[in-house]
Amino acid sequence: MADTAGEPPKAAGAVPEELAQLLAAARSDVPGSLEHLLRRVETAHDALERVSGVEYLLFVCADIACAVPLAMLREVLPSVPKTVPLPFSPDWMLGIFPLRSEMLGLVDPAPLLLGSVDGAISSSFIPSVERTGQRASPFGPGLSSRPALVVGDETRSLAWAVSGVGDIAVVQEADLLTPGDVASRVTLPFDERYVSGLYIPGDDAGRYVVLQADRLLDDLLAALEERDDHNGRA
Amino acid sequence: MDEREVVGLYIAEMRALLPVVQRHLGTLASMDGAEQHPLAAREACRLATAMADLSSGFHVEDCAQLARGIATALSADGETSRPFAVIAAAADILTYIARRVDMMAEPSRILAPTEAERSSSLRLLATLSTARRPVPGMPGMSAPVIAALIMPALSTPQSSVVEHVTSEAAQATQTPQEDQTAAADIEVADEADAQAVAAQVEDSERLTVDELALVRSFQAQTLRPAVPVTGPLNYAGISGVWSTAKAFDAQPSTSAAPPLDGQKPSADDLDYIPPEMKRLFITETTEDLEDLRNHLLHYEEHHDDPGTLLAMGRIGHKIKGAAATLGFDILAALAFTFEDLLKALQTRQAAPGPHAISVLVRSLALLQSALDAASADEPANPAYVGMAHALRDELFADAANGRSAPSDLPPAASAPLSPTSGIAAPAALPAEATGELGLRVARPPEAESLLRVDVRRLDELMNHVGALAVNRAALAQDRHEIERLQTDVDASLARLSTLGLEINDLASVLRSGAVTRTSEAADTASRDGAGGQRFGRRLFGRSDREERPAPEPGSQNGQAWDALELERFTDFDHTLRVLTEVIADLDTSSHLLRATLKHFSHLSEEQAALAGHIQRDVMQIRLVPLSDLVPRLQLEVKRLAPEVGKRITFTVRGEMTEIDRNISEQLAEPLLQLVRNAIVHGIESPAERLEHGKQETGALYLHAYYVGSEVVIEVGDDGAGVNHHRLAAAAVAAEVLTTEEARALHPNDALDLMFIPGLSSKQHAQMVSGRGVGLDQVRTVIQSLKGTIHVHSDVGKGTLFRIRVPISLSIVRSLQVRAGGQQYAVPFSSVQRTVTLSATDILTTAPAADANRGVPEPAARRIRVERPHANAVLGEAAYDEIPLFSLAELLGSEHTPRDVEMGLIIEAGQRRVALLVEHVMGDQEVVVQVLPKHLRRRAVRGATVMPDGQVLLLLDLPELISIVLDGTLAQPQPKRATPPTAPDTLAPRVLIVDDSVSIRRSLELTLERAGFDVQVAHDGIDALERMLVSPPRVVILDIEMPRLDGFELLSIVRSSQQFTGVQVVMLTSRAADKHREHALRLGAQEYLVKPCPQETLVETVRRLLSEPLDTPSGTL
Repeated sequence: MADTAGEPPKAAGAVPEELAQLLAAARSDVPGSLEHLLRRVETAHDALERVSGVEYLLFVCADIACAVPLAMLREVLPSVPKTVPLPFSPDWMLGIFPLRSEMLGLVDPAPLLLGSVDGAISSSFIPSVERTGQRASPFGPGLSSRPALVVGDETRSLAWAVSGVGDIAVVQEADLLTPGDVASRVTLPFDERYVSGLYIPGDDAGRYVVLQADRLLDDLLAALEERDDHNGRA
Repeated sequence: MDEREVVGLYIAEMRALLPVVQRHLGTLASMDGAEQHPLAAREACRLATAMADLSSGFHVEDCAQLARGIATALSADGETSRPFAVIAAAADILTYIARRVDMMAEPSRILAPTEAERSSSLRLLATLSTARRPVPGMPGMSAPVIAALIMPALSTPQSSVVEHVTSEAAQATQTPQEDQTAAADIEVADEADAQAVAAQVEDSERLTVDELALVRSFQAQTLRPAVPVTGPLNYAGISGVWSTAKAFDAQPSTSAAPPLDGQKPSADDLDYIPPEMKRLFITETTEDLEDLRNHLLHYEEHHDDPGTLLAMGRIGHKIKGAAATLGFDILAALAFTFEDLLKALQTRQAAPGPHAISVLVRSLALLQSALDAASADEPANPAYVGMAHALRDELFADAANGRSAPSDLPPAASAPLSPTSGIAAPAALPAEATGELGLRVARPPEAESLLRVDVRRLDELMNHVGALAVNRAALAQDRHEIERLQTDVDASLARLSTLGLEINDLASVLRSGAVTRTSEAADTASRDGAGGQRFGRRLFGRSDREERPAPEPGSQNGQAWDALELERFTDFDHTLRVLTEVIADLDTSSHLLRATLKHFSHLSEEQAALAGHIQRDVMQIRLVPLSDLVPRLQLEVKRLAPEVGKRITFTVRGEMTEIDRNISEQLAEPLLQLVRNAIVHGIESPAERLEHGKQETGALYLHAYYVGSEVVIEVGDDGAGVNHHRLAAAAVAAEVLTTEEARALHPNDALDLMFIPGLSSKQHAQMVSGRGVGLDQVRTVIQSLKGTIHVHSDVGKGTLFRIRVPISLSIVRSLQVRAGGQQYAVPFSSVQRTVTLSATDILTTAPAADANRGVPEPAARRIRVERPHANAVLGEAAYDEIPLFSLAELLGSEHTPRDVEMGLIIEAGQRRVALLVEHVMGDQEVVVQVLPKHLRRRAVRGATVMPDGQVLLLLDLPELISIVLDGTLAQPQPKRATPPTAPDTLAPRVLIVDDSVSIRRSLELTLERAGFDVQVAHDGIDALERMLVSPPRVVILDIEMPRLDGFELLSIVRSSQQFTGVQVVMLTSRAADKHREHALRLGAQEYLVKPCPQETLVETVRRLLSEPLDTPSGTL
């Protein structure tokens, strides 16, 4: 795949005005607007569907700008719900919470994503948080009102606690670098098996690691299952 | 079984078959012109045949003929494609049959067709025939042809001409030994009959040659029974039975011969059966077998009741038809032979009596085995068919010899099955077990209206009910919030009213001054003119005018009042009036709101009650009486006791005790095993019993009764009992115990050894003989049901197994406890009792030798608890020392020692342990929500949502203890490091105390966004109440508040040890140093002045949480 980092953005069709307003509202981090946008994400509005390309939700996880196919998401929770700790679980398992008639697990996917990295993340790679379209939390890390992505389907799902949620990007194939291309150009911050590519928007507004959400979900689910030693440590 | 039930049975069967045939026809239709899939045609043909047989059996002649017509049309040899017209005609027929079946479902409908229906069926059949074999120049059959084809069959009491002939032939063949001859006769009769009919038609109706050919063709293919296995059901006699019996006898036993086209799949080839159909069949047949057992028990005591045999015959026939339809040939053959037995008894070809019962019992056991194989997706043993035939021959041989029972049958075989004739149970029943839980073993067929519901649907319904409970909790929480807000509004209104009064008073003072000045002005005016009168009117209004004489008109000296002052004063008066009106309006609105809220509360409570009813009803639907299990146990007694040469009566009490269906199903095997144990090992032989001065017949009993939300099932006998010394010796031999440990064992504890894996199997392997499960497995199953099992035995007197299982696994009565700052629910049943523990109660010395039977216990701390069954006379210690664990530590949290703590005494298998908890809040029934697979933990049974919306984990404490004691969990587990990214999981609690709604809300939002667990209180009293329930880490405290102000609350907090560690931040509009100093002197950590930036507040709270408590005033 050719280097597309410096190229102008590909035509992705006209973004409906309403969508543009919503995205602007989301950028401003007004909770009500963000919620409105998230509802739109859930219901897959026609306006969004009319736009060609594959839709990705941009978000920040472990200080890395990421993208995940919208089709992999069940729901986006504006803030991490209150959870109940589940004993005999790994530390990255933050607890369980009820979502309507279902009990969901809330996890921090970062440890698994960073599993193969010894902390030496290429600083040149990491986009600033502001560039993802998500403002830094006024309360700093840790105690912020963090959103959560409910990933999967009705049969297998987990909520991922992430640092922030940004835009929905309609990504053209040409804007994606394959893992092979990526490996030759940048140091991947995440375990390669969880990376399906790199998304570089035409306006060079950051770089986003496109996650293999399905594989990551599978591994998280498998790691959560209680093992024979009953300690459940992954 | 009454007529309605018969109709219901037929409808159910047909409704199961119709859609499948329709689907196959659809497949065929979609391949019109191309080579059609042979399987679709074969299956459609096979199922149509089954419908025909079924309809024949129930004497629904028109449907039988039509279904057979479809089968014939689709079974044409060598054809790979059927004309679309045939398929269309077949589809029309199915539509007709479906409509007929639907009509039967209406009240007062009967199975037999009306004249109009007969006519319709004839037309449909004619269409099918024409479509199948179109005759040039003859688009359809003429009326004479139809009449010749159909009318003889429909006008005959039997369902078809051939069946009529078969019946005739069978009348001449009365014994099974002559089956071959009878079958030959049938063939001859078929031919003869067809020819006779054709000849009759030819003579009387003058058919054309073509028509005659068609008649012959149709007769030959339509009226001949397509499947000889499933002949007409005729309960009044045995006609048709022996003839079809031949078909089975002639078939190889490995698989039934293909009845239709030689391609019918064998019982082993089950892949083609739709799983849903197979599942329905298994479920239904299981129930049928249970019904057969019940009828058999009834028949044993009522030989002369022909209805019982008839009912059994119907069930057997139903099983046979369904099994044959789905290709379970061996099962069908067994059902067929079972029918033979019943027919023989009906016709008195075999004599009723103990031997006949024995044969029927064994025949039923074969049916059960074949069904078990089908359930397990395994082929049934072909030898079963031979065994069934041997049983049949045995019955007939005895009948021929004029015996009612074989002489070599053990005497116990003649013992009555019914528990009513058994001796009284050796053990006294608890009071709960008597009364309504009376004995009722042989359930007569009941004309109850039943609906079969898939258990999975019930599970889904239960989940929805659970979700309803969650919503209910949220609704209740919202209601409380509204009520709280209403209280706030009232408080604000009260303050506003007070303020209004104060302003009014102030206005009065102002008015007084104004009056004085105005009076002076008026005086002047009276002298100088009436100019001031206008001002007086504006200022005081009518009342003032009434009270005070108005200045004289014409006064010109009102200008003595400063004009601007008067203007402002008037505006003030106006504003005051508006304020008064607003207060009045608010008061009215508040009253209306309160009334609405009251109504809403009432509706909400009703809704909650309704949801509770639904929840209970759904749970009730899942409950089944234990009586469903009883026939299997009784028949096992009947089967096994003679085998081991024992006489046993089996008594059942409390069989109507209800329990969740899943639990009941899983209890079946353990109960069977206990019964087998008692028969083989527990109860002595008659000779031994006599030798020990006992009655020759041993007593075996099953008692069931409720205890709270659990069911207790006791299985006991009056046999030899178990020698606990021998058990201990066996344990030593098996190296389960050391000699010292065995010597120290309490007798009751020694008996528990029989549940230990390995030991149990060695002791009892010979008795189970490959059947069912061993005692270790019995306990495993019971424990998997969250139940317990205990054994008590007296040598020479008998043995009693007592099982306790929850009524339902979905709804559990639980204790709510707090450990490690987290609230949990624990099943009530797993807690023996609670104890209050102080530091002096906790021992750190080495454990006593006999505590917990030498099981390794990693706990360093122990407590002393009363020992159950301690015999002081024998010098047994009254107390046991049992290990003590902190529940918080076991679950990976930090345990904070307190002066006085609570302990839960838990029983885990044969061990008892104590668990330290911080607080026991109370007990409540909770709906258990099963967690998804990846969230399941051995020590966690599920989650539940409390009425306040809080989610609690329901812990499985015995399992948790097992994990600890078995060494699979490091103990004590180190405190789990707080995950860096899990602030919301263990968010510190902050209590905001302020009487201003807006400030409370603002602070709440700010702190919640910062990740804290926030609570609010509207004054000091409210705050104190909340703190007593759950102390916060930080209190944000205002000063001026009604009832109890901030300073007073702070004083109380600092004077109470209970609130040690609670940090207080004063947040007030009082900026004066004297207030600040006073607050700090009382023990506040910080003093912030309103308005305070959000960041400052959040930073202050965070800083306090990260620092150790420092009380500047040193008042602690």
